[in-house]
Amino acid sequence: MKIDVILYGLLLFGASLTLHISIWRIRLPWMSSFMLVLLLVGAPFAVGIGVMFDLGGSGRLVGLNAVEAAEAMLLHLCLAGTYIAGYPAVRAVSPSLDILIMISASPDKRMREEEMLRRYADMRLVSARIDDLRSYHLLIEHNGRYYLTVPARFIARTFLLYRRFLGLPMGRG
Amino acid sequence: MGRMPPELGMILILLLAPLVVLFLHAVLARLRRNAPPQKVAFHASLGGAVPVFFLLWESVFRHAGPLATYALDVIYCVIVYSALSYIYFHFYNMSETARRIRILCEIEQSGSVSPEELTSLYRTTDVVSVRLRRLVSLNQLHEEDGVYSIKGRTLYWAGMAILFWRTVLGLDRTRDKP
Repeated sequence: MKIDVILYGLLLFGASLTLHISIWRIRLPWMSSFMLVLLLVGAPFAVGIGVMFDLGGSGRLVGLNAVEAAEAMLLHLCLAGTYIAGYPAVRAVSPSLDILIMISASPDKRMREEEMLRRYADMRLVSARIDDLRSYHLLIEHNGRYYLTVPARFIARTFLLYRRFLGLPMGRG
Repeated sequence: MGRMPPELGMILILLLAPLVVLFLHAVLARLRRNAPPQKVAFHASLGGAVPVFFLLWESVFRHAGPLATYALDVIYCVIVYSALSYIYFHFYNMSETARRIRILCEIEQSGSVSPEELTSLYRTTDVVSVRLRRLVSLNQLHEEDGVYSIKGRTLYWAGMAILFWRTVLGLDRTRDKP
């Protein structure tokens, strides 16, 4: 393998990440998680597929043949995937990480559960998530009840099936 | 791999890695029912490297000549496998800890729910106490007579890194938007 494959994979990821930081600093996009997937995965993937088809024969792009371009693209997609996987914790409040920071920042470095609950009383831990789901059109309200849309049912069934395959009950959230 | 170019074989084996981790996880989850679930998923992600790298060795590297000729390929495989197993771990973690996934699964199982049913099912007190128990079982918190203190620093530093990254992205700490 040429070092160029790894370098171009890293370069592509670096460029996508820079673009992501620039856009987010200007204005947080609407449906930011979805936009992030489009930016880091969708766009490079579409361009990459086009380039690989173009290089299908003996053509080369920046010194890479089709298979090497696919290797560089896979490296980029894997790095983008790891970033996207961690993004929800950056975008929203993660109670687990917040609890650790809260205890560490407290004067005695120790806290009771009740003190933490008081801190969380004003935070919309559950209702903010419901708002999220509604803004992504995964949840609809009809006659005072919540229903799942078709994509949401697909997501829920995937996770239920996955947990069943692992022999585990539904996660506690 | 027959006549398939070794580079293509390498990509295919790496793409199959999450499936290997998934099957190993299904076995480990049944064998270690009392272990903290995140630890089991982490061990499955690590353990999946054994069959994947064995396959890579047998089908790609074994006949590749001296190590110097394929050292970069090994580095590439280590990076890609690590990234894929990290993504798998996060996918599992989402099924275990994500509030949105829990809400979707609850509604899918019951057909529909009212806002009151949903909030009574999933109270703030539950959100906090479930996480406290989880952090104790992962050795990140120590609990004595109802008082919690920091024990491990791994997740604490992850939290600090996330706060730093929020600043880089220009997100303020309390914002909780989709």
